[in-house]
Amino acid sequence: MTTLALVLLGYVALVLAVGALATRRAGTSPEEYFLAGRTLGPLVLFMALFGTNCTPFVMVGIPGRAYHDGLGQFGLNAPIIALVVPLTFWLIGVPARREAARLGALTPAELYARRLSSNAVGWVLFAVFTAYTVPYMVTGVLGIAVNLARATDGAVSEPVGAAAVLLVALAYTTLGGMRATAWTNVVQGTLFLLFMVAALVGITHALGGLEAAFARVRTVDPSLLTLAPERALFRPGAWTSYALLISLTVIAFPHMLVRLLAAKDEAALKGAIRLYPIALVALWLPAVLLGVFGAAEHPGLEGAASDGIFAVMIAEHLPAFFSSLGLLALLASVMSTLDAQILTLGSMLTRDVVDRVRGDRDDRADVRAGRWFGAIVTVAVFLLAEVCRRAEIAIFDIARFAFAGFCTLVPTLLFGVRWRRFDARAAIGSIAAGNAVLGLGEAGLLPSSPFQPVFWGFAASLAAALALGAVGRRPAGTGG
Amino acid sequence: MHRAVSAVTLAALLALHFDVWWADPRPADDVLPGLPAELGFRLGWMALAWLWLLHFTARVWRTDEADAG
Repeated sequence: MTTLALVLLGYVALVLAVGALATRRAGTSPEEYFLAGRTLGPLVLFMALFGTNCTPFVMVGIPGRAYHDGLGQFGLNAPIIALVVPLTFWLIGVPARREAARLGALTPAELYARRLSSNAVGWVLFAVFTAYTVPYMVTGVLGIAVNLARATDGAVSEPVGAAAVLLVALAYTTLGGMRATAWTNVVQGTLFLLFMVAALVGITHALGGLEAAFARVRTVDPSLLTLAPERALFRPGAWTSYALLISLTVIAFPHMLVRLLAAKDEAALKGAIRLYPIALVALWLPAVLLGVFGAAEHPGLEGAASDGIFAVMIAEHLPAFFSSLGLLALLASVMSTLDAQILTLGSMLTRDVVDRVRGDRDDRADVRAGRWFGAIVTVAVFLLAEVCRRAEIAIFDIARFAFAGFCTLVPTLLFGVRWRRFDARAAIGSIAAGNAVLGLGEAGLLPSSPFQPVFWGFAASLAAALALGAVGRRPAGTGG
Repeated sequence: MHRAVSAVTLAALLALHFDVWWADPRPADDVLPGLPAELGFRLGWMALAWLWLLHFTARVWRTDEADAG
């Protein structure tokens, strides 16, 4: 308990110090606060992008799934993310960064509103981004709050844990804006990555090496080492749907896209893209392998018990302080995403709502408003998390729907910066069609098919974008 | 030339990733000591994908002249 308290306090002090350091380098303009002055170099940009990818889903969800589904979880996720996510950085991120700089846009919604000369596009994107990001934030907060309460035997209650995590993230985000979140993400991503690799090496060694560990799995359940067709996720329709979901949703996270807008130049983006697949292997391999090895060590677990297999393996095979480090890694993974989300939603409320309604812009007022809105977003997420916790609402199902919803934005994000004929009508039509079909699919109102609703939602948004874009005409003078 | 090679290789990589549509599952045996066939295949695929990204970023991606300057 004392070790845990010291580790957590040390971590909080470290991220606050890094945030304060970033503040000393920060200017007072909105561009500096919201986008770090568009100066993120390759390493910081990569860690900011990667840190945003490090989520509790990788550390808790994936080992739990690998426990049941085996090695197939690695093949289902890691390869397609490693290839397609960097491709989307190039397809969407590169022209988006260039256009945002040219048009003076600081948020994704502002970029597309200006690019397509339509306030309506800005409003729609702001609404959809917010509606899908908030549940995502709530899942992270609830996840870490539960783990903090467990690790401290209830000494830190779930509401207190949730509030503390949000307050720390808000503190350094408000202090230094994008630069603070990017710099702290370097610390958080490094912590998370080192912990995952150390856990895999240590536990594999304790199990007698990789060969012995896999031999044990083969004895207990050899189907864990193949893409067993009796597992629904590995059938072609589900495999394809999941590949779409996991590889396309990332670029449509507003907090991810905004980091690409903050890149110093295209060389920085290239550097990040080259590093991305290597880091992905280091992240996903431990998560999947420890879940598979855990299935051989502790067969028969279900539900929350199997979700906790990563923590069980650490507690059994590594020194006691590793459990504290595990909680720290989990905390780092949550905060590295939360900070970016707080900043991005705060910036969108400022630039895409207040400034647009008010009709004028004041640099100092924008930064001040961004800070206040960051605080308001934080309070709203805390309250929503409390409502969900008390009412036992299945927020994870809502978050899954949100991830699918992000995919329906991809055609607009792509064509909006790559296709001259793609206009505001096509953008709004694509988003509306995609979300309507996705909603019907989630409600079980689409005809039965091997594909999941996300596939049809994405197909509908793509078809609408192509059809409406083909007859659209961009107003003159909007670039492109 | 680089674009054509890049496009064909990318298509081949994606086709291999979606081999669940037509190929039987790989056996549970190791292809190398401590490396089951399925994991070996996916790691090999990722190595090829990384090489593809290196080629793409070096030869196909045209950097914005304003940035390059």
